[in-house]
Amino acid sequence: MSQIEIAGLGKSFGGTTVLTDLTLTVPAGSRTVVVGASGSGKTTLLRLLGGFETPDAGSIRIGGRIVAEPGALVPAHERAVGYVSQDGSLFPHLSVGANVGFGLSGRPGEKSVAELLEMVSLDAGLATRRPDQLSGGQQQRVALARALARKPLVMLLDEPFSSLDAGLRAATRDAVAALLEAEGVTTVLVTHDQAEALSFAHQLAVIRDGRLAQVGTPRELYARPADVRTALFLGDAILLPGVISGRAAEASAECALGRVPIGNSHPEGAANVMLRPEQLTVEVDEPRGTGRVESVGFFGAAVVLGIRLNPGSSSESVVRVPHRSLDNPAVGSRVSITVSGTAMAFPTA
Amino acid sequence: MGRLRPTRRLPSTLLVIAGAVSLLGLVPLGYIIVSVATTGWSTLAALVFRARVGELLANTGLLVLITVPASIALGVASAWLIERTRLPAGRLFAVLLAAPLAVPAFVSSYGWVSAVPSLNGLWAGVLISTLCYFPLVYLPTAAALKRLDPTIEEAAGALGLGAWAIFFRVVLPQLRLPIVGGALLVGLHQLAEYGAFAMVRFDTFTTAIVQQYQSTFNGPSATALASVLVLCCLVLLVAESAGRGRARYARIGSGVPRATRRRELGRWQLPAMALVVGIVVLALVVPFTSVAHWLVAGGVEAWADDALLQALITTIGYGLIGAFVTLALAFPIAFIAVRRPSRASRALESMNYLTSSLPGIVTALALVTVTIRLVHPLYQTAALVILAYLLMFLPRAIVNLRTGLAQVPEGAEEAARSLGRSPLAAFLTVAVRHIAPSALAGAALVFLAIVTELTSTLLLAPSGTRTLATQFWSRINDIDYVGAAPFALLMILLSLPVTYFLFAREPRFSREPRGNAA
Repeated sequence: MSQIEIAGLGKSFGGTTVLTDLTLTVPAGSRTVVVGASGSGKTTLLRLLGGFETPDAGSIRIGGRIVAEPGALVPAHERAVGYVSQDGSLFPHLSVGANVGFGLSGRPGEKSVAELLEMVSLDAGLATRRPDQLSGGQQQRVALARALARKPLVMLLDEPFSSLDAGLRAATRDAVAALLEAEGVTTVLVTHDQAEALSFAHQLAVIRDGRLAQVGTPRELYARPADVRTALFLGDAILLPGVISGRAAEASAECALGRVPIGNSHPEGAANVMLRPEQLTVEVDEPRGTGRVESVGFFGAAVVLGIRLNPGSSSESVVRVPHRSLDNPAVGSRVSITVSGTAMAFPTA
Repeated sequence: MGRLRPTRRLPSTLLVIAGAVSLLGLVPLGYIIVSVATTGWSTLAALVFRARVGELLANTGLLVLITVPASIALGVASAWLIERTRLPAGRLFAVLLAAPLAVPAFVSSYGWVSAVPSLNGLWAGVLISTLCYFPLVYLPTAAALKRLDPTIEEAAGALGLGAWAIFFRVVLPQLRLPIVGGALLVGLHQLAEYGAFAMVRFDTFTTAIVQQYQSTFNGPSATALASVLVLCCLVLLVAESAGRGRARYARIGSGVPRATRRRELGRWQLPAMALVVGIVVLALVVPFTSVAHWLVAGGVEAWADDALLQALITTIGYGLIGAFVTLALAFPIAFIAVRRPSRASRALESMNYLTSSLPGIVTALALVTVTIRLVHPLYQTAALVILAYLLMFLPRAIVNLRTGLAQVPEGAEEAARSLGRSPLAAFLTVAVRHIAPSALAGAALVFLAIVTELTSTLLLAPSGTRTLATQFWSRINDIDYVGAAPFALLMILLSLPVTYFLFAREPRFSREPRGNAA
């Protein structure tokens, strides 16, 4: 069952189009991440879902009922939608406990403030503190507890982890994911951070210039992006010119790394061949190796090797490949590279 | 889940009120334009091109040309000494230099004339109005100096500039906006002031219009003078917007700027103290001493005046009602300006600024004429007086409400809405708390202005109405300086705490970084 159905959604502000013909469904109880660069329209999408804006075109359904269409909407306070903004937006004039209890109506069956704080792994003793006495991570969790108090059908998260420092970010993200899953809340998170998007999402939607570029599981989108821009947005990629031959399952690309099978359908002839760096395995292979190590960048656990492929030939090119730092080859050594999995072929510019 | 319902762009009541108030604001300027148009060129020319008008123009022009630069010099010098040097008793002087704003100019003038009876003419006008109005430059300049990023001055120092060069080439240019803005206010006050100049027998357009009005009621000659006065006012407005320039002064860089290190005055300490003490003596001690002198001379009997209590109650009443009405009617304009910014909302807002920069006498003349001709029942009512206050002081409320509204974290309001509060309830529970201090400050400013307002109250108040200012003024006209003193004292006592509240609201006097303090 789909909890959220967005159909043909469009929105513009004073002549600037922000969202165009956006269609997306979010299955009940799942987590969808909308990822895009800043200015791509992702926050506008979230505000439309929250009931803070009215669409210019299309419609939004939550739980099967229309909540927004051009010129009409169910206002924010009448939607069962929770919203956690980038900075938490805690009420500075209220204590932590009063913040969490803000949306409670006193009906039986509601969780108490202490229970809500416990849900987000915060000590009940924090209830009497002021929001400004909490760390950024604690504030985010209070904001989440406050939004969960009303048992929303849908939770909207606007880059909720971006203000946290790197160590706290992953831990908070995992805890929030587990909590939302346990509560069965359908979640939409928007972010510009691809690592966050890939790790948090059941369903990932890449938004670009107000349109959805691609929707699918994180693995699908990472391994089989629809185009070069999506490929580069979701992670590092190696792009090499190549020539495609063969059809369907037998299709392969001839490129600087030799003949590589391709995983998508592409007409025969010239193409841009995309591989993820971790598909490449580097082995020292003196003196026959086709690549020569030109640089070794040290990053602790890993090194990044700059390798010149087929020096002197027409297919000379440079690739950057991560490698474990324990046995990294020296600059100048000859290496051979093996490719696992399939490559993606994209049209040349 | 709730019902699907049509979206409204803006609560229409807000829009209607904002539009109506702004249209009302057009009445004074419209009155001038219509009367100039209907008077006919030859009549108007005969009224305007005469020696008397030339004399008034020269007086008013000289007054503005001397007072404005003098106020800038005093204001900037004192702001720099207070904010950037280790002036002894700096915190005390920071307050004392703002205090002249609490003393109405006509009371200050009364104090000076009492102390130096021979005082009259242009230089008396310059002296008194500079001392009364230089804080209009001092306050914004001091606030801007505090916000200036000290690293810019350090960078200039590292580029080889000495202290004076840093001040003139780096600091002063960045103070352009507060100086130009403050100078405009000083200039507009010169055009509008009546009592202070009448007391020292110095004729400006405003004093001439009041005299004309008192002798011939509202003849075409008062209107002709008023139209020239409006023209002067427009010249100042244009000069100010030209003076602002196009450069940007926003701080480039992130984070919170460090507090500035204060400069040791060294051998300049004595001259600096002399300057600051001199200003305080001339602007505060002289007027206060005179008032005290007359109070002592009057003794207890001076306080037996029946009019005193009545005037006090009436003045507070007008002040409170005027402040409340102004605040309430400014809210829609400020709300639309902040929440729905557009070219139209900016136009709506600036219309009100234009009206309030016209001298009060013009607004009063316009309201007298318009009510007599079109809505006679309103003539000579308290409501008309409140309307005049509204038109004159509306921007004080708008500016403060705007600041407050802009400080409301929109995220918090939206959070409240997603937690089940209707838009109105969310605004009341979350936003109002953020707006309240600024709204109070705006109301205090309007209250302060009303309590010390003289000119338009003289023209508009229903006969028999006694306010502190008008009663003070009628005692002065009867040369009863002793009888006037209690009224002056009450006005000062009413405005001092309000002024102090406004001053203390912002930490105007910047603290030094910890560990650096002397």
